[in-house]
Amino acid sequence: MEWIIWALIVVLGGLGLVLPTIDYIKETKVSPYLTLLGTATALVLVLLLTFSRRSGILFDGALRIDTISSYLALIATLGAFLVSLASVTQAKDWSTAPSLYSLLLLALLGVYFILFVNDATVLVAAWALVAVASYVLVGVKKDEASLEATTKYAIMGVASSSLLIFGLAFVLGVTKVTQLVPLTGVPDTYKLTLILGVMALIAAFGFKLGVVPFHGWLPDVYGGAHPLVVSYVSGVIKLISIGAFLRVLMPLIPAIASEWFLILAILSVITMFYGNLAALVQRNVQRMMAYSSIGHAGYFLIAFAALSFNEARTLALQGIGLHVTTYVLAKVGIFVGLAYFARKGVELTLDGMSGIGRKMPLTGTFFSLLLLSLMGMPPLIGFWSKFLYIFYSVVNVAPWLAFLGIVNSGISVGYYAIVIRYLFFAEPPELSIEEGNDPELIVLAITATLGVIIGIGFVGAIASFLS
Amino acid sequence: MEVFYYLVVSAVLFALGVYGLLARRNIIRMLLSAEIIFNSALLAFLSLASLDATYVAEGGSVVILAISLSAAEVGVIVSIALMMFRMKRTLDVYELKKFKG
Repeated sequence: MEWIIWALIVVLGGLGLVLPTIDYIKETKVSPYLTLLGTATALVLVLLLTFSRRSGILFDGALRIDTISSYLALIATLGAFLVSLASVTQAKDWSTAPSLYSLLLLALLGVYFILFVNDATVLVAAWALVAVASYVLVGVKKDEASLEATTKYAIMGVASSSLLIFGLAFVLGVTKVTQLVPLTGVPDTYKLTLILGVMALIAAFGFKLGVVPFHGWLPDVYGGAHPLVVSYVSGVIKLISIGAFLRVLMPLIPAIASEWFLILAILSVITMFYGNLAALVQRNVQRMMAYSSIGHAGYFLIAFAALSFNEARTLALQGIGLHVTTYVLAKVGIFVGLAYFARKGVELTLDGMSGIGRKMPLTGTFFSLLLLSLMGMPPLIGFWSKFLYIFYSVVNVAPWLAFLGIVNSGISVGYYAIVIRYLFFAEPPELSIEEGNDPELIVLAITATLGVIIGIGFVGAIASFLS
Repeated sequence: MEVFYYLVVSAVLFALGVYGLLARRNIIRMLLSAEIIFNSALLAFLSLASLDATYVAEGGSVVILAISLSAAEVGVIVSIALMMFRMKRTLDVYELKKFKG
């Protein structure tokens, strides 16, 4: 299996390093197509990796592959492919477009390393690759909105990296090896150090995931930066925090099971309520979707909390895998859709978007399907992943948490439905209409169709694949 | 017990850095404060790693990689500060349009 990782490094890293040189020096415009080619190759390679169902340790213990991590890598690659497809038209006029493509590829490589990480050294190196690439990615358009977003993101990112080092200092100080080994129990004298370290790590990963109270940057970045960049940051780069939770913190859970559940359950309740309630009052749709990301971070935390119970673990892991599918498909699709509306001259507020669905029926339909999937409407994939896996995993061990999750799903209907209402049940504006060969429309079609198809027929198959 | 004193120094540095990050408005000063936090984390890491004779070398390698992480972040934030100064002629983060907190 090592040759697949080598091939990914060569394809993504090589292209990522070479692309700006070619385009800036030769003044060509080949980078979008080479990026598409690179991500498509990566998609094939990761598909091979996923369906070989091999699991094991690679590179003398630096990386470890198992089913769920290769599945998450597959979803990340799909997201990156779709974003680079949409950026063919979106980023055409940006002066910094070659840098954008180079950073897309390098950040994707870093995401793989974090998903497969088995050693703290690799974690720090991959974290540097992804984090620094994402700060630049947010600001790469070089306008005032992205300046604001990138300033906030970078300063918060440095704080998050410091917390990562603090957390690793305490956790590795207890385990005394840099490999991320399972920990079944610790002597009482070390327990406080371990809990301190785990809390610092939760804060570090929570910064990236958008967990309240570490969410301060998120509405301004997701709501202020260019929607195309946001689709990548929220859809693909966010997987690093989920991968890090699974790889760095999950092996430590048996040593601190009861405290873990308490911390994660409290954080998830705060995060869900904050995200969903704040989204209700937004008039700007992009900002609303930023708050909905916070709400979904809360749902992920429910699944992470459930990991501390043996009987709930399988279901929670399946839930994480499936909900990542829902989340990545929907967020990539929705933000690419918003970028498409913006390119057509639509203002991204509820009033600005009113009636667009009638003028652009295909885009409106796919966009609404993705919103419904996030809302949890059967038979779309969001329904199964949210209700039947994530919430159901805690039904027996902590029914109140499942109940609060369902309450939050109810609250979230309020803002998802209002977007759909404005899209279709209003007078259409005078605007240019959609064209069938726009790449953004293709992205929306792919994400919405996958959401429907997986929801109708493949949820059980994916779940049994992940267990 | 020597490790304890190093951890106290690290905690003091952390507190100073958090204060600076929250109280300053100049992006370069915020960066310096964030770097103080980062270095306090490195100090805590090394002092805890020094407790174990075999783990101290591995821990040191993590710290060296972490230093490169912080160097990369400083590079990016300084270039953001440059971009901000070119666009706004100021380094005050409160001057950014919707910047809150």
